Amino acid sequence: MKKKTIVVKNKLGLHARPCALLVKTASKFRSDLMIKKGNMEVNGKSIMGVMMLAAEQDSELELIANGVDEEYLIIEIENLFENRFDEE
Amino acid sequence: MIILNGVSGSSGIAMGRALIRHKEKISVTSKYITKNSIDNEIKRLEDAVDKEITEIDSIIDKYTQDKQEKKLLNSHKMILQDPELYDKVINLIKHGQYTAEYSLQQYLRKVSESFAKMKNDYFAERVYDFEDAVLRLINRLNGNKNLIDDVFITANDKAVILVLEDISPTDVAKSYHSNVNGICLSRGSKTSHTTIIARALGLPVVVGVSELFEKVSEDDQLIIDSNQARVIINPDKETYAKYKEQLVREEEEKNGLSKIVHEPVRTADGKKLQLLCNIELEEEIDTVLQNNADGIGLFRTEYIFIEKQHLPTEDEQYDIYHKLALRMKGRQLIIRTYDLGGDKLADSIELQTEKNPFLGCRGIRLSLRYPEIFKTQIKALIRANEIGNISVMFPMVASGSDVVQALKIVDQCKKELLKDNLPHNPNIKIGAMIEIPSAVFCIAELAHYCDFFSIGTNDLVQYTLAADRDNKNVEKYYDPYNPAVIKLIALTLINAHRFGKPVSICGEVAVEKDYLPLLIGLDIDSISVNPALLLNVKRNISECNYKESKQLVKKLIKANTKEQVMDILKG
Repeated sequence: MKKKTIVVKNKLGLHARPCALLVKTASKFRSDLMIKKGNMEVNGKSIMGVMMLAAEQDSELELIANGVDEEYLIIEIENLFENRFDEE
Repeated sequence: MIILNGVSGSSGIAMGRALIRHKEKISVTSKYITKNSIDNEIKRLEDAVDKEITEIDSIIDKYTQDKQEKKLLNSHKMILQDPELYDKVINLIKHGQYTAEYSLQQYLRKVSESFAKMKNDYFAERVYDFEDAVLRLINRLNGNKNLIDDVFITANDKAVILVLEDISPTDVAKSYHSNVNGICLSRGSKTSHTTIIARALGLPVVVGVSELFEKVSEDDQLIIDSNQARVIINPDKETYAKYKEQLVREEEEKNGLSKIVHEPVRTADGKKLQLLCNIELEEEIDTVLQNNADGIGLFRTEYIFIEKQHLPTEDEQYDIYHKLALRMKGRQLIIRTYDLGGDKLADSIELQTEKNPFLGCRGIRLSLRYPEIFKTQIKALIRANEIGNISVMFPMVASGSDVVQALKIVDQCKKELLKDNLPHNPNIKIGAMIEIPSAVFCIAELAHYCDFFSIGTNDLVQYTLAADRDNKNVEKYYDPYNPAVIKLIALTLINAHRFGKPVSICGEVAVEKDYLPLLIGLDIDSISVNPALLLNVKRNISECNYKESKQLVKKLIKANTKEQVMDILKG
């Protein structure tokens, strides 16, 4: 299991487009991905789950990956957040 | 012949036979299954999901060129493929021994509850996409065809107008690609996804039509005239002929217009001017860019203020204006501060009912009365002006002192932004709407403070002639061709140009071909119109002669009666 805490940097937060991008990226991997915000935990491969986080700018999220390719999964997802989902 | 009034959801005219569909409440008839049929039930669910996805894919492949539409369909698809949805629903089937449709309904209820608790409206509203996708799935399992699926088959034989309570964005897309000519809804709103898509596709829609189901019968001849926000049921011969002719003309025009998208805007004898758009939603920018407008001459901000339950914060506004500015990079973007009457901000400020709201505290007057609200908008605009293409325009300016007071607030905002160390661009152009006759007579003073002017003809006509444009009893008094209105427009342009200030016009007259020689002859700098009509106006300009127009204006400003005005304009 691999964990990583990240911060939502893009202005609009995890709105529809970044959510879709996150889910699509996570779905390419075999490992499971859970995302935690406060005491809420959702499936990172579920569009409605990620949307339900209602993660605005500056919110802190914990990524928890579990599986054969967990390391790569975390790196790719972290990249998305780092690049602000190619927004701005 | 009966005429019903509604709200224009997507402009245009359409004719066809009424096709009525009532939205049945989705009711799940059977709830439980036996243990033996669990596997079978799971298979039913998977089949339904597969079919739904195949259908969406085929719509995307076959028809969809529009970006907005594609985005929505893809989001529906992602929802259907959601592993969470699948797991939870399968769980309910297995352990609750529920039918697939009942399980979906239970899950939908749970998800809707969580979304309803969200504080951020944007996220809370995403639940509608989810509901839409899941309800279609339940409907399919129920053996009910999708509410209007059969319509698309019927519509292949004859031109129809759909009469519904509401319609999903996906179905709007399907309607457009079948023989549906237009849609009228008893519910719906101007800002819903449905109407935004209809606008992008150019499918006429009238929403919020009261008594729709009482007055319309299946197969009635219908005309929807969204430009006038009305539905005509069983029109008389004369009305029918009038609209038929207009439709044929529009069709021919459309074919010719697509050729001039990349032509420059200029008169027959080569005089150049700018052609801009009036819009109120970010989504409309697609059409603005497609039609190659020089910019946005009027972005109305009223919707931002009334769309939500609360007043928009500075940050919320910043996001909207900033996004607009980036998308309009390299082009002009004039944003008008909110032009609302006190009643519209009622939830947030003390309400005083006004006997005569059009002569009351609206536009810049309201902004000056509640400077704290005004400051959120001004600060958001100055911050959003990162690349420097934003101009701010004040509505309902009656005299120089209105602008002086507003500018004081603008300066205050700049200082505060500097103090708070927020990135912003203080070089923002300021303009005033010329829509109250008194403003015309103090252009010299206004020119001292303003960088540009914009004539709002709709209000200018109403205030000059003291005639409410929506009041049928004084319809004939509301007349943009009245010599007094012509003189005021001429005076505005001549005086503003003496001070070297550009003038644009945003109002319905700008679309009228007869009006163009007046504007062009007076050296109007830019014309701002509804994006769907942009190319029509461009073509009209190219057929107009600048030198002849100049001669025409000399005669026009001497005309004393409407008849004389029309004689001169029609040559």
